Amino acid sequence: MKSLDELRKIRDQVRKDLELRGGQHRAKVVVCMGTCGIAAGARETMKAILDTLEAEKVTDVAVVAAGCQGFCEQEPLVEIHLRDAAPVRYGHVDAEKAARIVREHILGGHTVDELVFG
Amino acid sequence: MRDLSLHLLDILENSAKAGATRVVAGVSLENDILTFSVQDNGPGLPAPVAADPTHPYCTTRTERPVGLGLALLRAAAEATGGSVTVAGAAGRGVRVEAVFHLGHVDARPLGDLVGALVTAAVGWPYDLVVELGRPPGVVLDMAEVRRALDGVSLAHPSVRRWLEQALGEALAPLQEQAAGVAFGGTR
Ligand code: FES
Repeated sequence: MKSLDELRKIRDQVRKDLELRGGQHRAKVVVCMGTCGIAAGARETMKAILDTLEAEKVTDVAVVAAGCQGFCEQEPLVEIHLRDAAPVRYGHVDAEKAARIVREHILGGHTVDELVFG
Repeated sequence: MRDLSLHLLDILENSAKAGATRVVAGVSLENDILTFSVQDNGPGLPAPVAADPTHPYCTTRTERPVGLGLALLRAAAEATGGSVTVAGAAGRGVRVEAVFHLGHVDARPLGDLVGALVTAAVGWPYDLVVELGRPPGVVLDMAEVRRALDGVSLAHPSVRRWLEQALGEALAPLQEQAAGVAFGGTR
């Protein structure tokens, strides 16, 4: 297994960054990783979200996976939880739409209405 | 599923749903025979499910049946002349092993194995252990990673990059070999 020393350095850097921002995440993104989600391309969707956040140098957004939510026909499924706002659920989110949701909703603060469902 | 790595990602979700806290995923490739194994420490399979766990209607929950993913896995393995075995008496965790012949004309490509394993390692709350080869060597132990991170989120991009590097270095020879033995060569 790769040495963990480098990882510990990364950890210290992340802590410093978070402290500068008051230690709080601005948003949480949930990507459904159930069987239907994976088959519909959820791994690529998640990757696009992470890549977009990285490209925009955003480090205070948590991206997490969830199991099946019972909306399998809407896969890939993404939920955005902004701090102090009700969660918004988007359906059929491919990589391109994922990048758009990150830019417009998380960074811009505007829900992307035509992609919302439920 | 488009590729075999997505099947592995999918069976790793079953262990999360089952509430496992430690899951060992093994990958090995000998000649063109690819083996995936997943052993969890969850509650195991209740007796009726244990009788035929890859039946597509077999489920232990109210949403999509667990058996759907296993049935898809079995179909993908059998299409290559391989097989899937699922073992797990109640209380002893579940072990899934899938064997594929990558050289078979109907074998799907291996796909992004590193991406699948990183997604599971970061996405699911259990400690994923990744073992490579035979006899297996541990190439990633998320319990140690979590300890080193000491509360810092796994989802942080730089942490994720580190995981991708760690697994990427370890699995590169296998990915290369898989591309070489695939039907029709590299793809
Ligand atoms: S698999 Fe995601 S909602 Fe069912």
